[in-house]
Amino acid sequence: MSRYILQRIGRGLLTIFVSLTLTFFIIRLMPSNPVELMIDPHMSQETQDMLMEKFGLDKSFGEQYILFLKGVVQGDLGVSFGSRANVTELIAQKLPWTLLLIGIVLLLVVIIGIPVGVLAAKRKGRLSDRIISIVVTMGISIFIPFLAFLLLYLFSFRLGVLPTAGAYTPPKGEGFSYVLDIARHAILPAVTLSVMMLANAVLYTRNSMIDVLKEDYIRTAYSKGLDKKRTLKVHALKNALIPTVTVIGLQIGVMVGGSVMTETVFSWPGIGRMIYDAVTALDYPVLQGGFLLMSVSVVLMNFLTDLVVAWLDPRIKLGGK
Amino acid sequence: MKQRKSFGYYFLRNKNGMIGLIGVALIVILGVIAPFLVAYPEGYTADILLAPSLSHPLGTDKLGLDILAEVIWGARTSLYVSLTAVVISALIGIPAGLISGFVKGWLGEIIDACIDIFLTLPMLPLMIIMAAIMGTSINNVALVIGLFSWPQLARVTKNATLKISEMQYIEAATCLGLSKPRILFKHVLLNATGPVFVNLTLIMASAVLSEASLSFLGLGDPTTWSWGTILKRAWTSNAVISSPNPWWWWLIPSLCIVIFVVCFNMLGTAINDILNPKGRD
Amino acid sequence: MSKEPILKVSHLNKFFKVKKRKLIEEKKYVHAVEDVSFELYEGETLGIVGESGSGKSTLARTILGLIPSSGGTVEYKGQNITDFKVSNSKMLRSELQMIFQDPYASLNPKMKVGSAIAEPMLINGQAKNKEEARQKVKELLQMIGLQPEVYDRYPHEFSGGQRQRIGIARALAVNPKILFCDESVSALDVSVQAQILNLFNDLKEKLHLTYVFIGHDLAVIRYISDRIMVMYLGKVMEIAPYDEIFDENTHPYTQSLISAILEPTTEPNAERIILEGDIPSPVNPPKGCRFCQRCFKAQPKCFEEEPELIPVSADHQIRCHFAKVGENK
Repeated sequence: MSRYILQRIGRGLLTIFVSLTLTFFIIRLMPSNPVELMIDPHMSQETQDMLMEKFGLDKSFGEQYILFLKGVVQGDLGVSFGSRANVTELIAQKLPWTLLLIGIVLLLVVIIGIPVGVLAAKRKGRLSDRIISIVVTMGISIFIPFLAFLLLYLFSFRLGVLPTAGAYTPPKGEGFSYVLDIARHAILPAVTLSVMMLANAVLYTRNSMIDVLKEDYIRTAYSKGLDKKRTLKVHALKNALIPTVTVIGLQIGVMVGGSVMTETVFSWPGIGRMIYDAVTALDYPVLQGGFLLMSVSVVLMNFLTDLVVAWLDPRIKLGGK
Repeated sequence: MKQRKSFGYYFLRNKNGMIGLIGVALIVILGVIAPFLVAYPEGYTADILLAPSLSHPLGTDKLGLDILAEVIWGARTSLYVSLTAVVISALIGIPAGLISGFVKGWLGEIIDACIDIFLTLPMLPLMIIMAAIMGTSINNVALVIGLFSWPQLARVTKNATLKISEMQYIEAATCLGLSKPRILFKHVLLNATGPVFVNLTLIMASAVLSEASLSFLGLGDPTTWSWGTILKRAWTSNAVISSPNPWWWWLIPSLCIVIFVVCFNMLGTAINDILNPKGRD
Repeated sequence: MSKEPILKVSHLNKFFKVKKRKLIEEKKYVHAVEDVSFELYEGETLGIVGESGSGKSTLARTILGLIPSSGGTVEYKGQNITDFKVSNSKMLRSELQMIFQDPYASLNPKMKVGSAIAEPMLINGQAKNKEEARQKVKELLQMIGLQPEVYDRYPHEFSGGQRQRIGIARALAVNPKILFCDESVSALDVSVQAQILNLFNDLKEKLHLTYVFIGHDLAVIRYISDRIMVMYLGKVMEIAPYDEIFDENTHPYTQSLISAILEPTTEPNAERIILEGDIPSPVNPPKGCRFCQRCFKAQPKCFEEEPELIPVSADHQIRCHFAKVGENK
């Protein structure tokens, strides 16, 4: 294995560790320690002691931290303050819904974002390129609730063709109609969440494609008599995609943040909505668990994009930096 | 002697930059003179959910308060929060970037690792947790946003510093016996102002988005009007999908946020294009 | 010469680590400067000549402590100043100054000419306050042939030659004793080169300076130098007084450099020595003589055994197996 990949893995593990430590200390070092707020002085001494013990509050700070880390390694993220449910189980239950949304977003980026970026590059300066550029500029600075409101207003309120909230129409159906129902519910949240990522993908593909098309080796390929389509596909696209993939990796953290907003507006039963509910209920174990999961997934996705970049960029394969 | 056209010359000819600048100026003026324009919207009136009219140019909300007044006072909050956040992130990000780009050895490595780690962490959830714990006051919101907005700035400053510290004039300064801090915070920083300033405008834009997001999630200051707070109220009252639809209630504050962000982004892009000779064609 | 040297460099080394690419890899070094020793006497001009990549700029930077050395010592007036890790480094630092190669890169584009020159004066105590600094800067500007009015101008308003004068003024601001001129005229037009070289000569007289003049062009170096040191692949190949550098008994590399000088002559230059190939990689220098792969005199011995610096006369040393000892003079 090359030095590069090992370095990336080390960095990723360090990032996860930092996010663990950060949440632990943010939550416990604040003046109004939320865990201690849980314990009401009006409770009986017995209940107080029981709660203290349950949340490990009778132990020293360092011990609590070690216990917390131990728990995380064993997959134990504690117990929700509100529902007293196991946080790991809660997350396992919510995760597929968020993964579904993110999966759709990445699919849209590949089947729409990259081709549109290539198209804009090929038609640089023409009307279609300009329109794409304007849309992209708006897309990059989109405020997610605004977009969600617009879509809701248009498709759910005015046209009445799409549902306003949730992931399915209760009661839970079965078979094909259930899948179709989820698909109908997923359209608006997925579109909302994908806009920023799509805009970035189009922008970076377009710009790097324009740069790559100017390079000498592309001109050489033309002059060798390779036809235009082939040149674009084989030679240019692979190189042009390096910045796109890199920026997708960097944007994943932003997108995960965006999922909180999106899922909140659409009441989508995923991790994002879970975090919103935990914020309103001041349910810290759930917040902590949700954030940890987000960090881990961001690190994983980053690692994946690093691998893709290494595959696209022969310079990295050699092990250089 | 050679003549070089000034920054102002190119800026005045950059259409996007001028639009951005005018937009930003309008928002700033609106925010600054808000107290002289309209009274602070408080309490409730009988004019519930009125559509835009002469007496209420942007309509009213469910409490009968004037949306125009709310939006103007909201501009003030957005400006205050984003400016404070920018100052805080500049105080962290610029020194971090300068040092990690200039100082070799363990200090530079550690700061570099910090920048990398904070760039990958999902910032909005982190802000949400921190804001939820610190409590909802406008200063806390600004502090939280500032504390988590610096990594990008640090990265930009670091890259500029790496390039500048290779220049001979930096070596010359060392040779002349100037101290490292002086070289870094005067000679390097002077030459990094371009990219740093561009990034500050972008942080300004994203700070407004963060503030609106936090307020929308109910983590803003409930005693202060901000665009996010207005939206939060509209959303919890189901304004988007209720009939008859009070579109002005949710559309106007959203537009304000988008315009603010787009103006700052346009300004930043224009400055970047001008400083980058490629953009002068 | 029985005088004490003002600067004494002994066995100075500078290796750069080569970045590792694979997980397990032998550590490799670039031998930029290897075992360089020489002495510099007050009031003289030492020329250092060599191709690009020969380590001459690195040598100057290592002596000046701009990059840390990997071994050896530098003594200034008898005091060890290697890497400037000494208590009075601030004072000493200002006595050794450098004029840089690229006049476009060596001035801070965001600083006015006047304040760029005044700043080191105020820091190092050559001027006590801003007023005094301003006055001194104006005098300096006049001395190097610029109008005092340029004080409030930015570097981009000047031509290359003017900028180089500003760079000189800035170095002179701290009252140096030794000036290292690193390719200080090679970026300039030939006519401007001559002006700047004359300025160097004038300043030497006026301010009693000692020069180390670094360049790749022997034609320029010999114009200004009293002694010449030839470097190749990080090593000193020859140190010779001005008079002896054009003799028969010199290093083959020196001979090839000399033959590359264009002389105004009508005769066809039949004896011109043209070096073949490029300077070898300093990561894996040749086993024998550094120059063996490109030398026209090379014998099997040269590929096997590295020659020492052989003193051929009082202050003339040659690193060649075929140097003739005692023939000069």
